[in-house]
This record gives sequence, C-alpha cells and structure tokens, in this order.
Amino acid sequence: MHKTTFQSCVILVLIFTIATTTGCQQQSSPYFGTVKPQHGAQELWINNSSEPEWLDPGRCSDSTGGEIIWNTFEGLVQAHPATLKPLPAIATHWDISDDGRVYRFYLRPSFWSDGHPLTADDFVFALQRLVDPQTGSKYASNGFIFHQGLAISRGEAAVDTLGVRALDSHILEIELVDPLPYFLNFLSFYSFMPIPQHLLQNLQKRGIDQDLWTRPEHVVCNGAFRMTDWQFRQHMTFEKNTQYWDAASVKLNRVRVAMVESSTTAMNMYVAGEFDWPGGSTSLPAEFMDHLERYKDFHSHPYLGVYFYWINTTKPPLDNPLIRRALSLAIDRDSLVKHVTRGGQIGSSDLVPDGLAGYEGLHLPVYDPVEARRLLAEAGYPTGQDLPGVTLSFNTSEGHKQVAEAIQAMWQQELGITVELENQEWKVFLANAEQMNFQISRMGWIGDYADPYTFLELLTSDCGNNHSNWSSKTYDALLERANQHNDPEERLKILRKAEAFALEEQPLIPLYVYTRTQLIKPYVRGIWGNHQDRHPWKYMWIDESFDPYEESSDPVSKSRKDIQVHE
Amino acid sequence: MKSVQQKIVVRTKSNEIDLIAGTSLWHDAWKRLRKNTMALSSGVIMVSIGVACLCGPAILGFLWGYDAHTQNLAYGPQPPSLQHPFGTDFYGRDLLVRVLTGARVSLSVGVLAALVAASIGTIYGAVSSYNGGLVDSFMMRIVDILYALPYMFLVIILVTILGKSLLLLFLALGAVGWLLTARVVRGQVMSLKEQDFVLAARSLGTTSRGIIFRHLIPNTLGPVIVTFTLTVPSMILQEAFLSFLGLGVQPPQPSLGSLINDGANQMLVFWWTLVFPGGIMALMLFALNFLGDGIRDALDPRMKI
Amino acid sequence: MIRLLVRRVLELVPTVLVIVVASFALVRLAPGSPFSSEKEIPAEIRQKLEAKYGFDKPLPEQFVRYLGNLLQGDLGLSTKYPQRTVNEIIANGFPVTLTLAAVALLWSLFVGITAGIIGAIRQNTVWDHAAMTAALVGISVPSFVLGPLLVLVVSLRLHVLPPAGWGDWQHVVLPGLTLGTIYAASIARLTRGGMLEVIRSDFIRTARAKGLSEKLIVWRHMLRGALLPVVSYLGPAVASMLTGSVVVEKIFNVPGIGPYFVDAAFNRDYFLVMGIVLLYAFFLLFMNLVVDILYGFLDPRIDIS
Repeated sequence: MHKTTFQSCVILVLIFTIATTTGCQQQSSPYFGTVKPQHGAQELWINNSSEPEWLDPGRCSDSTGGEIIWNTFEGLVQAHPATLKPLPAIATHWDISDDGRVYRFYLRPSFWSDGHPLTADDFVFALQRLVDPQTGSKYASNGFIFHQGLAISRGEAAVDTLGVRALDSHILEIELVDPLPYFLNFLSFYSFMPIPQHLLQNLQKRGIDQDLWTRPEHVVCNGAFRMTDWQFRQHMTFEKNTQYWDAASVKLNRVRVAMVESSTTAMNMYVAGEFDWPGGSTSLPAEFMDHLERYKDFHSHPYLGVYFYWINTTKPPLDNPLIRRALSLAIDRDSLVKHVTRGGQIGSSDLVPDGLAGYEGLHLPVYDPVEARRLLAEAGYPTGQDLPGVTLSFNTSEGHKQVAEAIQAMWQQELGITVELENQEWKVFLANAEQMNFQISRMGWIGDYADPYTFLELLTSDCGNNHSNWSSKTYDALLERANQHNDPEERLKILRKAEAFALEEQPLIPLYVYTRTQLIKPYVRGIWGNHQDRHPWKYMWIDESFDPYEESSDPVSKSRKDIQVHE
Repeated sequence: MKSVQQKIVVRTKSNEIDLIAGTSLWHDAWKRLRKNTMALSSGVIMVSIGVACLCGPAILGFLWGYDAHTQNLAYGPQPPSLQHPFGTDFYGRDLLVRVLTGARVSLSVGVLAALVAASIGTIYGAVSSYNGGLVDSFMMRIVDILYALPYMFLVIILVTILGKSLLLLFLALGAVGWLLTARVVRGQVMSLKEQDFVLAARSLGTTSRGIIFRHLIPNTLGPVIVTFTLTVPSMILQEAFLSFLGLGVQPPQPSLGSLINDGANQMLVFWWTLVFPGGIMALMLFALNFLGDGIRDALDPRMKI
Repeated sequence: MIRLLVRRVLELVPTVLVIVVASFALVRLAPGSPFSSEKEIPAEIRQKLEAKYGFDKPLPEQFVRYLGNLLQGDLGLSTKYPQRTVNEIIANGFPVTLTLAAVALLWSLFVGITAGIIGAIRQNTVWDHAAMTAALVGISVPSFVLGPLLVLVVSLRLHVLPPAGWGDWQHVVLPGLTLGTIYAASIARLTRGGMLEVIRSDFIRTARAKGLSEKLIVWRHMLRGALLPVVSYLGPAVASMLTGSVVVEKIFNVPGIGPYFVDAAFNRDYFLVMGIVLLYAFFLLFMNLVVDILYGFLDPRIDIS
C-alpha cells in the first residue's frame, strides 16, 4: 500500500518533468514558434496588453490607450519611427520666434475620416479641452507648457485665454511658458492630437453622451487607421483610413489588436502564430530571457525609463545622506541586471539615462562596496548591525519582488544591514507613497519626452511626484535657470550640474535603465526599436515572400531600408 | 443501521463500565488504525516530513553551510545535482533548504488553520442543524454573509488597522476556512438527527450537548476529514496570496505556497523550482489524506477489526 | 415546500442588506482611491473626477444614493472603464463565464462522481487507490500549474486547440477542463466519503436481500445518500464557478467576469466591486436554497421546512 503512494508520487513528478523539459528542448528552428503569416493579406495581429481606459486624446493617460491614439490620430508633427526626430505631419512647416516661446504651424489641407475638413480650430478645441478642469483629464498637466495652461486648469482663467490660437483656418500659433527645446519632440505625444469638434457637437445635438465619441459606431479620426470594431476586453479591429493625408504609404489593410494581460499567455499566442507581434507594451518574463535570446525573432532595445528606489529622507536612519549613499554604492547593479532582471537593462547610478538628447550622463560609480562600508562607518555604523530597522516596500509584482529580494541580500552581505521587505497591494502602496508612509519605496519613471528635464523635474520641491521629502532651493533655482535658457548647449550643462548636486544627497537610488524586449515574427517589417517605444503601424507590413530557410539578415535592420518618411 | 444504534445505545447506558473495561470507541479505533498499514505509513511520512522540516535546515547548514537566504546570483538557477539535490533557485540559493524551511511554516500554518477551521465549522454546523428552525436559518445566513463579503478588502483593512502579525494571518485564513465544513456538517446532521439512535438518546434523557458531541459529530467525521484534507492545500496556497497583500510570510523568508507560486512562474524554464516544492506538498497531501481515511475507517464501528 | 420558499425569500431581504452594507463599508474604508496613480493628478482635476462619481459627498449620503440606484437595477459607473456602466460590464462578461462554468460543472460532476463511486464500491483496492490518487493529484495541482501545462502539451506541442482566446467552442475546452478538474477532484473525494457512510447501512443490505441488481443499488440507493456532502459542497462551488475564476480566465484570456474579483479590487473600482460581490451573493444565496431543497429529495428523512 505504501508502494502505491510512492509510485503515484513518482508518476506525478515524472509527468511534470517530461511535460516541462519538452517545453524547452528540441528547438532546432532559429525562430520561436511559427514563421508563416496566418491571417489575411496585409493583416497584422498584435497585442495591446489590456483594455484602455480612454481612447480620447484629451483624457488618455495610459500607454495602452496611447498606442491606439497614435495610430488613429495624427498631430501637428510625428516622430520619426527610428530616430524619433520630429517630422512634418498635419503641419507641413513651422516658424519659431527668436525667444523660442512662440511657434507658428502651417497646416496642410486634410480631412477627418468622415470627409469633414480638418482645421486649426480642431487643434485649438482639443488643447483647450485638455486643460479645461471640466474635462477632468489626468494628463491635463501636459498642457501646462502652454501659456495660461496651469491657470485655466485651476479655474483661475477663462479657457479661451490659452496660448493656442488659430490665426486662420490653416495657421496655428502656440505660445509656451518657457522656451522648451524639447517642445517639437513632445508635441507628437498623444495628448496633443486634434479632436473632431463637429462630431462632439453632433452627438450633443442627438442627445448622445459625448464621452462615447471614441466608440466605433461614432468615432471620427484623422490618423492612418480607423476603428471598425471594439469587443470589450477581447479585441479591436482597425482598417486603413482612406481619408488619411498619407494613405498612399500605409501598407497594412487591417490590424487586429487583442487585449491579453498575461505576458506568458501573449507569448504562447505568439508561438502558436496568433500574434504576429505581441505588441510594444507586452514585456517578456525575465525567466525566459536566457532561452529567448537564442532566437532570431527576439529583439531588445533601450527604453526611456529609469527604475529606482525613493528614499524618505526625513525618517531616521535614512535622514543621513551618508547612509543613503552607502546603500546606493553597495548595490552591484551589473550583477542585478545580468542575473535578476535579465532583459539587457543597463545598470546605472544616474537619474538621467546617458546620451538622452545630447545630454552627457554623470557616469556615477555603479558599485563600490569599499566606499560604501567607509561611508557607513563614517555615519557611525561600522558593522551595520546596530542600524535601526529599515523597510523596503514594493507593490506586488514578480519583477519588483525579484529586484527587492536581490538588493536586500546585497545590503545584508555587503553592509551587514538587515532590511525588511514588504509587499503591498498597488493602491495601498500608492497611498503610502502619497502620505510619505515608507522608508524605501520602489518606483519606475518613463520619460514622456526625450529631454533630461522629464527625469530631473522629479526632484523639484513642488513636484507632486517627488516622494523623497527632499527639497533644495539651489536645485530648484538651477532647473528654473536652465528652462529660461535659450541656448541648448548651455542649458544641458546647467541640468547636468543640477543632477550631480542632487545625487550627492542621494534622495533616490537609481538602479537601471529599462530595455524593451520583444518578439517580432520574421515576416513583419517596418518595426524599429526606439527609446520611447513608439511603433507606428503606418510603416509596418507583412513580407509574404519571407522564406525562413533562406539565410536572411536581421529583420529589424532589413526593414530599415524600406523606410519612406516624408520629410 | 441497526447494529450501530444498538452499539451506541449500549455504550451510552453503560458508559462507566466501558471505561473500566477499557474497550471504548477510541480504544477500538486505535486497534483498528494499527492494522491499517496505509494509514500507518502515511503517519510515518507525516512525522518524517515534520522532523525533516524541523531539523533539516539546521543539519544542512551544519554539514554544507547552506542557508535559506545567502544568495549567489552568478551561480543562479541550477538543476538538481549531488551538491544540491533539489537544485538552486533564481538567486542561487539551495532549494532543499528553502523547501524544508518553507514547509515548516506552511505545514504549521496550513494544518493548524485547517484544524481550527474544521473544529469551528463542525461544531457550528452541527449546532445550527440540530437546533433547526430559526436558529438554523440565522446561523446559516451568517455563513452566507461571510462567504459573500469581499475577502480581499477584509484582509486589506485588517492589515491596515491591526498591522501584520501571525495571529492576524491565522484569523484571515480561518475566517473563510470553516465555512465549507459548517455547510457540509449541517447537511449531514440534518439527515442524522432524524435517525433512530438520536431519538433513542434523546428519550434516554441525554442533553442536546451530549447528543451533538457524542452522537452527531462522530458520525460526520468522514466528510469532515475529507473537507479537512481539501482545506489544507487551499490554506497553504491562500497564505501565498495573503503575502502579496502584505500579510503572511514576506520574502526572502520562504513558504511552501510562495515557492510553488514562484515555481509555477518559472516552470517552463526551471522545472525543478516547481516540481520539488509541489512534490512535497503533494506528498504531504497524500499522507494526510490516507491518514484521514484511516482514522475515519477506524472510528467507524461498522468496519470489521 | 412553499412555506420554505416563502420563508427563504423573506430571509433574503435582511441578508442581502447586511451584505450590501458590510461590503460597501469594507470597500470604501480600504486605503487608496480609484484615482491615485504613479503620476500625480492635479488636485483640481481629481476633485472633478470625484464629483463625477459622487465620491465628494459624505459616505452615508453616497450609500443611500447607491441603495436607491440599486433598487432601480442601476449598479453605477465603472472608474476603470469610464465609458461603461457596471451593468454593461457584467452583461458583457457573464455569458462568457456562464459558458465556461457549464463546461466545468459537467466535467467535474461526471469525472468526480464516477471516480468517487469507483473508489467507494471497490474500497481499498487498486481501483480505489488509483481513483483517489488521481483525485489527490487534481487537488494538489493548482489551476495555475495545470492550465499552463495543458496549453504547453495540447496547444503548443500537439497543436490541437488554441492556447488562449474566446470565440468558438475550441476556446472553451482547455479552460473548462482546467477549472473543472479542481472541482472534480474534490467531488470525487466527497462522493467516496459519503458513499462509505451509507454503503454498510441496513437499507443497502435490505435492498441486496430483496435481490435488486447491484447497478440499481448503487445508483438508486447508495448515491442518493452519498450525495449529501457533495451537494453541500456544490452550493458555494457552483456560485463561485458562475462568477468565474481569476486564474483560469487570465491564463486563457477569457473575457469573463472572474478577473474583476481581484482587478476591480486592485483598481478600487468601487461600483464594479460592489456589482460583482452582489452578483456572487445572489448566486450563493440562490444555490444554497437549491441545496436545501435537494436535501429533502436526497434523504426523505430530512424535514426541509
């Protein structure tokens, strides 16, 4: 009888073993999964990870909504799919005033998908609506760069005082608060797309809730694709928009976007050929990296995001900058990215990623345990043993837990400090961060535009996202001075000084710069890796002639030759 | 049913004599259990797992210097070998030590919580059903309400107000664990209480308390033991879920539930991280289950000795 | 029978009221807000958003308003999916979950009861041990392990069924089997346990003495008595099947209502959480009523009213 139990256990273990090991081995193909297109002619099936909150440019605040908006709407400028340099879109050209604060855009004649002509008023309407407190846009702050934007959102000024004016039906003037050198790059962001004023008025007339204007039965857009079907939490279907000004260069006929949240499920669907591209926002599980790296359809590129730990600089013992710096230096970031996150991330102690828009990174040391121990001793804790308790909180996620667990061990092994880990449910975590109810708290920050300011702003005194309780008049003044500066070179120098000043105090511990890892079927062309993870469907196409047995070059670099960008 | 009734009636009448003679229900049961090799070997397995969990980590630490926390990132996840019979995990930690350490926590939390839940549920269900009528309705609606409440919010609020503690963990696990047992026992007792032996006991003047504890509950032990064995694994997995909410065992401290969770995430790449923690849990369940069956059979006077 | 129904429907009112009040309190007292996010939202904008949903009013006033809307069948607006009402979201996902639940229930009843009968009538034989071993494997393999394994073998190796998605019958098979297997294992254990309770009773012996065929005895007499614990278990089990499974629906990307139990709670999507809780409470109370009526059918001695 005892035998039966034993045998069944053995069988159980065997089933597991066989099933799981066959999952990884016997892979001789250089590609991960199927290599033939399985859907209609020039039809692309992708994933967009979850149901977007809003598809309304004025209200959207998440990347899943942004992905759709970027492909269904077109702004004044568009980002080059590889370099992200601003290219003409609805605006054919523009003038900039000498002080760099006033831009005048000249619009090409173009049409909404219902044939209605698009004018400068549609932009004025959209941008006023963005900052109007009545709209309740979570991204209203993007409109604070415009003259009077902040005052309007606080209800202190009338909406029509916004520094965005239609000079005639095809000339738009934009007045900025500061001469932002990154303005044109930022302008391709989804918050700044035009909105069909005529459609919203029409819906109001018919007594339909205006909030529903992005539903497929109503929606009118001006981008490369238009939505034809939207199955809640399942998939959306898009078809080529024939009214699009650049419709001639759009190659795909149809794009089907699924909403699969689990990255493992999305990966399975990719292997089975249901997805041609599991999408830009679907990350791949860290455990699979070693395995996936072998395949030709695996790609990875740096991404404009920094993973770091906030330190609450008012709670002892971390009110002492020496201890904060010791903690930072004791982290072996190279080992962390190589063995834990595994996605080719770049270990970094800098807040601003190196090389961002011509900015030369600080290149602070990424690991120096000797100096870390010296700093800790200087702070009065030579062995680390008697340091009062420190807790590191993170929101529940496999990835955050892995990083926290590794860093906890590094602090233990290098400094002798025992840090307690605390898993928190997302909203509890956010509430604790808002109320400064933590000692160390994990955070990731994705830059909205390619400029160091998107990261450096985090440490200013009046920034609502500054969760360090650290504030410095010197720092604030440096950033203010940089923003007023019209000379880009000089401006970057001031910003660099500010970053060095802040990191000397270590109100946060930067860990690494993000990378985006993705799987792209070898027959899909026209996808470029770029650091803002923008992948316009406009340039994508299916290469029916692709032969997996032919020694082919890397599809990403091959597609580069095919680019047709109108400059 | 006749033989049962007679036996119980006789036993109730001559309780003291039975005690003197030393042939009580429990004595009989023990005699029967001793003959059930399956149950006995299961017991042995349970005891060995318990002993391994208690002493294993210390012995491994003493002999090879392994502990559950020291990481070796460069070594990373390695398949089972002579040095590491269960392999190593994502951080290069010996999995055997971690499984044993984790099983120690989970075994005590899971089995204890399930035991408490089974006891509360059994008594609650029996009392509710025996009394019937309004009392039963009231008590069962309380069960329904507890079933329906949004559990996650309950836990989140408890953690916020009371802070995390082992006691709260038990409370959170026990809060829902007993509900199923209560319903199952209630159903059984509804049938049992109409049977002749209960009538007989009542006519002999046995108190309600006596009837519930001496006559009804022993007769529901079969389903109770089954629900108990169903509760243990769900408690162990539930603990892992609670640790995501900040309650329960926090990393880097292992628990069987969190090891299985991590293992499931990695199973297609590092199969051993699932197979060993999962295997230990399965083994434990097998043992618990056959031991439970054995106890049930042993307590059934109708089974031949 | 009619009396029972009337009484239970009357009982429903206070029970549901308690559930609504308690859930509302729990949901609203938990820390966090539906509008908190990584990036700070300007205070003025946040006030506007809160006003849109009425969250700026005092809690008691909000509750009264919610109750008023509820009586008119309006479950409110979702904060996570701002273009949809909770009614719309549930109406969208419920048919999907229902389909999945039907498949899972049929599969679990078929497999569970068959294995349970085999285990009981061939007690302590190889058949019994095989059936119970299979059941134990089913219990100890959680759905987050079984699901991915099925996908790996059936979809990615054998290419028989799609790995995930929803649309035609092929999409139902794997999630249905995954969900059903967990329940099947429990049903098998409970059926076997229940049958062992009745298998040696007098009425079975009488039936045998009357010369009834073994088949008839098993199906007509044994199973009826044996199903009591199974039915008790099925009440809450069917209610939770009908409201979906978080894990299974996520693994197979089934657009049902299961994931809302965790996601809506994580997002503090207050009205959606309440809607889901109420839906579950409704099924739970309904199923438990059905179970109580079934008790009377399964065991004529039980006086259900």
